[in-house]
Amino acid sequence: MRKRRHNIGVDFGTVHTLVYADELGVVWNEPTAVAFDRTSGKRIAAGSKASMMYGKTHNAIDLIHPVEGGVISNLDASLSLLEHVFLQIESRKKILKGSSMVICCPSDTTEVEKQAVTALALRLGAVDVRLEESVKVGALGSGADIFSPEGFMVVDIGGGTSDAGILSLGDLVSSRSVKTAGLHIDREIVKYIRYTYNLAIGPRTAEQIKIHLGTLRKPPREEGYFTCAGRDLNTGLPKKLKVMQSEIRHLCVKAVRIIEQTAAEVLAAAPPEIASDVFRSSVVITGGGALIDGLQEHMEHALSLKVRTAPNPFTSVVDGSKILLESSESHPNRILRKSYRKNHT
Amino acid sequence: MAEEKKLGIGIDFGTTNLLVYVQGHGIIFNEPSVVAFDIESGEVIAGGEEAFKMIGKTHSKIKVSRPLRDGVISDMDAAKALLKYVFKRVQTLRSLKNSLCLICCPSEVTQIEREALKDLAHQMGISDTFIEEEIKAGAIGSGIDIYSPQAAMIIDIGGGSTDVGVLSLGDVVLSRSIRIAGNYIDREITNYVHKRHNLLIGPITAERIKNEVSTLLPNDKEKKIRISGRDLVRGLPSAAEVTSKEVFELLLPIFDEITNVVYSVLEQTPPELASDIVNNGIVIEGGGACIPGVKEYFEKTLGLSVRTAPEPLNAVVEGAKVLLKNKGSYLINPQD
Repeated sequence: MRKRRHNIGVDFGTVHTLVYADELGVVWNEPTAVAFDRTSGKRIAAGSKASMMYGKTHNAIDLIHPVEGGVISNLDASLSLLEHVFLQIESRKKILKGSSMVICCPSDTTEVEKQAVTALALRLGAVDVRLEESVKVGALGSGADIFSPEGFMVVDIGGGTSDAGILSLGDLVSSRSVKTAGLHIDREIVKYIRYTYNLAIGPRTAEQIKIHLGTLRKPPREEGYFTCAGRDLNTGLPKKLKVMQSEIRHLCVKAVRIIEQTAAEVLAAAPPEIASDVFRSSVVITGGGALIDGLQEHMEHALSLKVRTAPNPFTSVVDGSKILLESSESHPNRILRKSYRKNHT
Repeated sequence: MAEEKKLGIGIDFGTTNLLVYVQGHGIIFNEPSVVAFDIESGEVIAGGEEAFKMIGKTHSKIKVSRPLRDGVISDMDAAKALLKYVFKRVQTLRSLKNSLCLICCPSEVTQIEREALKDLAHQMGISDTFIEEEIKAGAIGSGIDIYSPQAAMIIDIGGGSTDVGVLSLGDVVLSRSIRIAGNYIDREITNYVHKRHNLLIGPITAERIKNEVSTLLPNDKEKKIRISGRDLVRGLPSAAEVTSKEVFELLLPIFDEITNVVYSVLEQTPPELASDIVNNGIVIEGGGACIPGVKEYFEKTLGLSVRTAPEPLNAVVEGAKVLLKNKGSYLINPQD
């Protein structure tokens, strides 16, 4: 009986959760959200279905985003969501049993949380579980060479956090993280519309505005606009509003400046040899935020360095976990966590 | 284990009209919530339409009662008697013991009042009862899918109460009710005719005026109705004419009150749902939805698109049919 050992990579982000399995590609790509029935405590929806309920729930439903600002804020909800994700995958393709897994948790994950996530993966059939930092794995997925001593800089603009880091010889030399990212821009849009137009809009509406109008380029003569709806704070009545692209551009620029500042700090803390490597190669931007129109040019201008966008910004973390797992296979000096299973069963 | 299929019964026990739906038999009763007793024997002599006709015309040996006032049970015995009368009419009905009953109540009904409704069903021999807000049943009955994450807003102008609510994901997000509705309009009409035309009219006449000449359209063609009652000065029967313009003036402050309730619901609506309401509009149902111009009135005062339910008077019981399938759980979409 031939047992196929699968390599599985998990990117457990603030806004999105992605799971990759070798030979199958991305098997899960949905928002990091989970909904519970308040009375029974049972999980009623997870992923896209739960995310659709945001801002629209009645009293019987508890909608939780278990990762906030890159940190697990609700461990039970996180475990419940991961359990749902793994069970969903397992019901379609039997890959968990005997698999090697790399889970990229948010930064600053505590020991207790790491153990809990590891225990869950082991319980569901994985044999070898490693927890890694997203920015490092994302750098690998964006093209960093895991074994070479060439400095490689990556800026990962995600949903909850933007991380800037420089890798060399497969690990981080210098890194910083700020909570200015996708969700921050959404919240700024909500605030801006409230103060400027006295209109209260919901979080999903703000996200739609960002997706349609987010840009760093100076708007052409024919400016783009987006019609959104919310509640007028003066009259209390629902109302529609036309938002112009230039207004949103202004908010995006403010956010990107903070991210560029963070990148500059990372560069300043790097040893001079590595700085020289980065100068000769280029800074790579990845993550959902890398797709903001005009970001590459804006950053090039701010840092006076060459900037390129990763080929697959959304999946660079899971791509990196694939690389990690494959290189562990060919270099079997990895530490097997079988001991975890023995101690915790 | 043999599966016991429970007989589903849906009751819209309204202040004005009582509608009862029985699975397999359809809507078995759709008549006014009125019951008439013989005072000496205590027996029921008439119920529904027949008893309605007796209002204001009885002698001392007959008592006519409206078991519900403003949406809640005020006379438990009369309510029981009326329901017994209703069920007796369906001769082929088997015992009520194995049935699942859904009773719809207005939104701001207290826990004690809800218990009274459940108790009523128990006394009829029905063991399994659950209560739902009319607004939820009415929304489903108007054809809205309340189980999606799209908000739906309903204004239900009934006889005893007007309910306003926002629904999403299979349940009520927020709702309010006010006891200003059809019956209140009747009373205002009675007072008006009393003061203006010096004529005392009965409740049936007041309702006729409301049904035939009420309007909320300021520039509608004028309609007149000739009604009769007792002249206050001479004490003799007399007649008078009431125009739609007079009723229009009467309705404005009443609908002002209703609009205030709608405002108070909208003010508390979460912005994502408010955004849905801008796009999907509001649905009006209940008897009040039949007043000409009510749709235009709300569109003007709220600045939102408004539509009337296809069957305003039956919306609640139609929705109750559907709710019986999932026992009111917001997790199961009964249309699946």
